[in-house]
Amino acid sequence: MNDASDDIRSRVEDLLSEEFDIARDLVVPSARLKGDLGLDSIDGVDLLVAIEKKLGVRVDAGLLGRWITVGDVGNCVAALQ
Amino acid sequence: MEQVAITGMGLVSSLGHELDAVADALRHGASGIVRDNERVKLGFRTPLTGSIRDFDPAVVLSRNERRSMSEPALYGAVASLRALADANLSREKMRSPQAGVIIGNDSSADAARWTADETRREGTTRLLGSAAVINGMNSSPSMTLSVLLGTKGVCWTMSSACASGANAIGLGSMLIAMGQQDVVLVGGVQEINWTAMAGFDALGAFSTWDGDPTAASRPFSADRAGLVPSGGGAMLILESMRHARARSARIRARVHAYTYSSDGEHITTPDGDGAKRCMRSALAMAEMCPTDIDYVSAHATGTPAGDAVEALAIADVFGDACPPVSSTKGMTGHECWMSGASEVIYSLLMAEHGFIAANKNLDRPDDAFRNLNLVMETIPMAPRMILSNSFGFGGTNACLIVEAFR
Repeated sequence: MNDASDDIRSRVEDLLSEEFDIARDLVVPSARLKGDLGLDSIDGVDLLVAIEKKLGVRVDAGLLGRWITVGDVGNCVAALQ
Repeated sequence: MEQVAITGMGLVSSLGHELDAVADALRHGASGIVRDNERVKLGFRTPLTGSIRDFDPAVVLSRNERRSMSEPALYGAVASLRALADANLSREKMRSPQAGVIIGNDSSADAARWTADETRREGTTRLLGSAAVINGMNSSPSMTLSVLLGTKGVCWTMSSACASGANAIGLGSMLIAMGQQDVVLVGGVQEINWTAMAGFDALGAFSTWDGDPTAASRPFSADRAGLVPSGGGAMLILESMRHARARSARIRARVHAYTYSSDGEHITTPDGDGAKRCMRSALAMAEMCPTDIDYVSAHATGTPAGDAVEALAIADVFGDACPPVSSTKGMTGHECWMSGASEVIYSLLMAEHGFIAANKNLDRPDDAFRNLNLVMETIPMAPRMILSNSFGFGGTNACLIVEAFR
């Protein structure tokens, strides 16, 4: 890992907290998007929009189904940036 | 048949948010009308509009609850929460197959405009997000409210132009009277943004009054020159009398009659015959004669043709027994899809607080209306039996007779 990757993972966590009104300390890499944070399928659509608009990273919608935890999102976005 | 009770009311109105404050505004002839300079820049014929002040839905609705709500849906949801509180009815009680929602709404124009603008700007639909589809649906207010409250019964949007709110109350009343629902949240919502009003402005139906905006809406006046658009949300709790009494609810009113008719003539110009048939049917359904009515809450919007046709229809139906008649639109402007519901609430507030509101800005009534008992100054009398008129584009008409319980 490098500083840039850590930074984007941190920004993904910030974004999840802000977009979905979730306390920042709950948004940790191990947190499950559905089970722990309560996100649903249409939140997933909004998450993709927020990532592209705010972080400038376009993510294929097909990847949504592979995201189980916050860490999965951060790793994916870090790999694509 | 079950008797139908009104046990709660909630408003998001250009006259205010709290019922007591709105009652005070009605008593003193306040105005919710302002100038919107954005409409001047956009080339509207008139910048006049009702204005909802101090509205922050985030105070009572979380981000997730708001995420699929369009502007009219937010008005409806906040007004509904206020109505539930007024009825002392818990949200838990609404999670029943015997509880539902019916909202009068006839547009979601700003959501459609946003979706089109955003798609063109971005060159893709990919960035529209999840809300675009729900926000753009006419039924956005009823479906999001049902999800918010967890109702398991009826979930409908009633679209019938400016009679939508009255017809929503009527449909809810029918379901309760027939025993198909115990509780129905009914009412109307109206988006207030410029998009929703651009076509209306183009039609030349709006007042182009150039002076004090609070003097622009002039129902029944000799110098009336068109309506002033407005909006917000107005929701009522309807319950079967049996259900309301079982929980010792405060009964605000009883719905005695709901009737409807169509002119079947012209798309925008009323013929008066449909209005007369509708009022007469309401009296017949309630088994009442004209002298039983204490107050007519007129639809009158301030257009030359519409007010004249309604005035003659009221005069014809009531003859020498014409009760006091006023239109609250001189204060609020025309709340369109919402008006049939908000005006029942305004009338019941008059009954609760012991007055009949005057026709604001009615300095000189049209000579043709001399047979009408138009309210020139606030009358210190509580109306008990109220006839509320709603007459919309397409010649779609609805009348309600409600009895206020003090």
